[in-house]
Amino acid sequence: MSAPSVDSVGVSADTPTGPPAGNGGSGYARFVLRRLVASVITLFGITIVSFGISVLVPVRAETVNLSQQALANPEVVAAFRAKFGLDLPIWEQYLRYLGGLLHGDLGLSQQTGNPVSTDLANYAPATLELVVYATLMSLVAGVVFGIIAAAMRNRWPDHLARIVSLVGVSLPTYWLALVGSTLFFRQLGWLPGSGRLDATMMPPPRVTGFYTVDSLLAGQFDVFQSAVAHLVLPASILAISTLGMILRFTRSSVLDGLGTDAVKAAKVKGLPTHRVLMRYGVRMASSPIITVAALSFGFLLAATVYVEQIFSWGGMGQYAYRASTNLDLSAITGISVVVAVIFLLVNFLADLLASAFDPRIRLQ
Amino acid sequence: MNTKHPRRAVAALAVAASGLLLVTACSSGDAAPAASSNPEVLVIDQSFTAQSIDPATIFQVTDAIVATGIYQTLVSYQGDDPTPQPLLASAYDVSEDGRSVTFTLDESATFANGKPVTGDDVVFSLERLRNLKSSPSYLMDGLTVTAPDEHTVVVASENPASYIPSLLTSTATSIVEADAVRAAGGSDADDAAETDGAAALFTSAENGVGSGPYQLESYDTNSQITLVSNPEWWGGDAAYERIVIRNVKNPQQQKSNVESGESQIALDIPGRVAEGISTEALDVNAYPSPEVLYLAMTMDASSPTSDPAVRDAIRLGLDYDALVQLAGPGTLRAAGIIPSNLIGSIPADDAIQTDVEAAKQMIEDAGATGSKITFDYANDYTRLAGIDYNIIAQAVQTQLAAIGLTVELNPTPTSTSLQRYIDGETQLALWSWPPDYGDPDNLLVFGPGALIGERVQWTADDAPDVVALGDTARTALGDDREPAYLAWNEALVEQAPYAYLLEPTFTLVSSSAVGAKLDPMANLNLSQIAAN
Repeated sequence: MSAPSVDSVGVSADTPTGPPAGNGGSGYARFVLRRLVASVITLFGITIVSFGISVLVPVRAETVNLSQQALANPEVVAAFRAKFGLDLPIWEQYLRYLGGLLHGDLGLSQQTGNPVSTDLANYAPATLELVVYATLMSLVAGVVFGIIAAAMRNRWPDHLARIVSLVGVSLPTYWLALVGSTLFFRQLGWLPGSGRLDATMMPPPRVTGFYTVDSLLAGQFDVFQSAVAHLVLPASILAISTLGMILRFTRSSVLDGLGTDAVKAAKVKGLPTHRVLMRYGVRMASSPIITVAALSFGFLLAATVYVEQIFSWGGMGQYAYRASTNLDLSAITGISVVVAVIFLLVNFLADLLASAFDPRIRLQ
Repeated sequence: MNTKHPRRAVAALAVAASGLLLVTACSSGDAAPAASSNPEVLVIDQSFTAQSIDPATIFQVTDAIVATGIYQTLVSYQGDDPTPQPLLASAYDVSEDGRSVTFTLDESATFANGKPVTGDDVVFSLERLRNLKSSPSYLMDGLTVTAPDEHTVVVASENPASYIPSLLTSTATSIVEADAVRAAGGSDADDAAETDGAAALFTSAENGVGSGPYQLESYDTNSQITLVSNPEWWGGDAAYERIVIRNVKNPQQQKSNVESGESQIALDIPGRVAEGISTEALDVNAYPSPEVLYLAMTMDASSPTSDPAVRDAIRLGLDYDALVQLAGPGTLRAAGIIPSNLIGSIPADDAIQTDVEAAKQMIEDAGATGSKITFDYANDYTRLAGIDYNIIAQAVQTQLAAIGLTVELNPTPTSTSLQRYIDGETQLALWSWPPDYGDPDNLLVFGPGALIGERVQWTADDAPDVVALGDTARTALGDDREPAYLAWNEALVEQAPYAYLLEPTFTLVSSSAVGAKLDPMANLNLSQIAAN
């Protein structure tokens, strides 16, 4: 007797096989449009919050950007305020900012004197490279261990996974970074402790801004090796901070999938356990995993501020820290907007991807 | 829609990336930390405070260090000698009345673009500094600059100004090649603050407008600044082919880097941390600070510190030796606002002596026992030789509690704390004053009615005799300067609402293969670093 095909048992409503009848292209377009509108409104809200905070902080920008002798000279202070538009009422500053934003102009950084968009274009690839690798690392490890934990529920691998996820979620990222740096750089000397490359190396010609990619494109394998060596420690520490979340989500989603009628039917029909696990449990867990991966990416974008400081990474995180401590208003707002755009974009793509896996999402 | 491919693609990508990282990291693990022992490259670790490498706008420490490699001033400190020595000027002569200094330019001096350094360049550079209305523009207040001929420059003042040579050691007074800067949109005109457009020139690589041994290769205020040697340097060969200055915030990280050979100089390792370094491969040297850590006590009527008896009691009740211990090895007791390496300083033996019982009695007699005083300090400020202000503030709180005062700590970020201090809102505050040049003239801001005096509500009317002493000191000449500044300094000890705590020590940790020293202003001069 031949084994039943997977498709022949995939008839339950729990099994994601395609969009429901009668809800084709127009439903999908509405879904995309809804997400886009929500993103724009969120972005608008972020600009208001950023400006609002700058009004509430009891510090004047010139205090942190001019020398104390210069502060005593009203002419110098006036020149500074005029240069950065700080002499205008806050509402006019805000409207001008919004106007500039529509043209991609994020204003001038008081700290660097450069357009904020230029600074961010310089620093974003460093951060994105770190976050992308960290997300991929936590995704691989979290999904693999999550599946194993679900498959071996209440046995030692499951308990171990629970401990790992608890530790990952509980330990603060900055503490992990300090301990990681002390252990692997200072004590063991296995990994470099700061920067993106050895100080004596020249960065590869810029194409993507990702040193690991650009060095390969330029055929500079020694630079590639150095870039990877510098990535391992900060990326691993970031990955650990979200590993627990992905692992727990994967485990519970796979367990949910394994509890469906379709799986019971598959088991009754004699499908091997590993096939049931991968084709039903894991497949049905795909949407939540994608969603949590997107959330994890956003979390890591924020967490890089600590990690970049400790590892002198030179990306957006360090730029954000400096802008905040020096009340560089244009930079703070610019970073908020760009991070929000990246986060919204990733979530938007995750929604689209998740809806491709599970059409029910479009209906929600 | 076929959903298998995206899922597999994502999974494959993730596995490939993770595997790549792990495999490559493992294979490169032992090579990484020891990266650098290229003798042609000097790596310096510093916690960056960088903002602009245009000399006429420089006031941050990192920029000042970088500028010493690219640009040159008329005079500079050589080694630890506090007397300004000729640099672009081959000689200088102070007039008898102290109102002008004539500089004779070195005729062999050239910029990296090959053009000679002329009087026009000097006038342009200093006038641009004045008219850009930037942070260091105040240095030119009351000064005029003329160039009688191509190789002579006269810097004059209406009043005697013996501090002019010291002032012209500041990197903000660096000389740039005028024609190239003008061509890039630069201006030294009165309206330069609005019209100058040369900022981009100074961050562009190898722009050629400096006369130092190095040129800028890259300027990233976030992570790394790189210099390359200037092959046309008029002073000979640069000691290094490249200098890489990295932004490393953590002192422990700096220590690990310099110990492992990944960097050759670490600039922000506090003395206490440096004590743990014991290897012949590294030199650990201490340098006196040009600034004093002090307490500012407002004279505003709403504060208990407005009572002179309370201020005297605070000065008497502080355990200075304990504070010196807390600040780390090499720290000195401060006897006045002028540090011991400048003229006019008060010998440490003459500093006020602690007498807790007397202080307690004074507080009691003043009816101030139990008075509450808010103590402001910057809880994130570590630039002063790595001293942790939190620890100093907590010690002061405990010491003043012993004489009957209740001190409430108000730790805030530097920006907030400084704003409160500038606005005159603090009752008790912990600060230091980093001078821009090595002359006590720079400290007259502490006088009554001056910049710092106003922050503690100490007006010129409160102490006209101290105002007069300050005026005398500023215009004194020759051998009269030292006693004049000493008299002013002593008057501040007696009357000013400050308590002088300590003079920290800056520590420089460097590879013994690198001849690095700090100058009298505790700055690193890149052009003076020689490869041993």
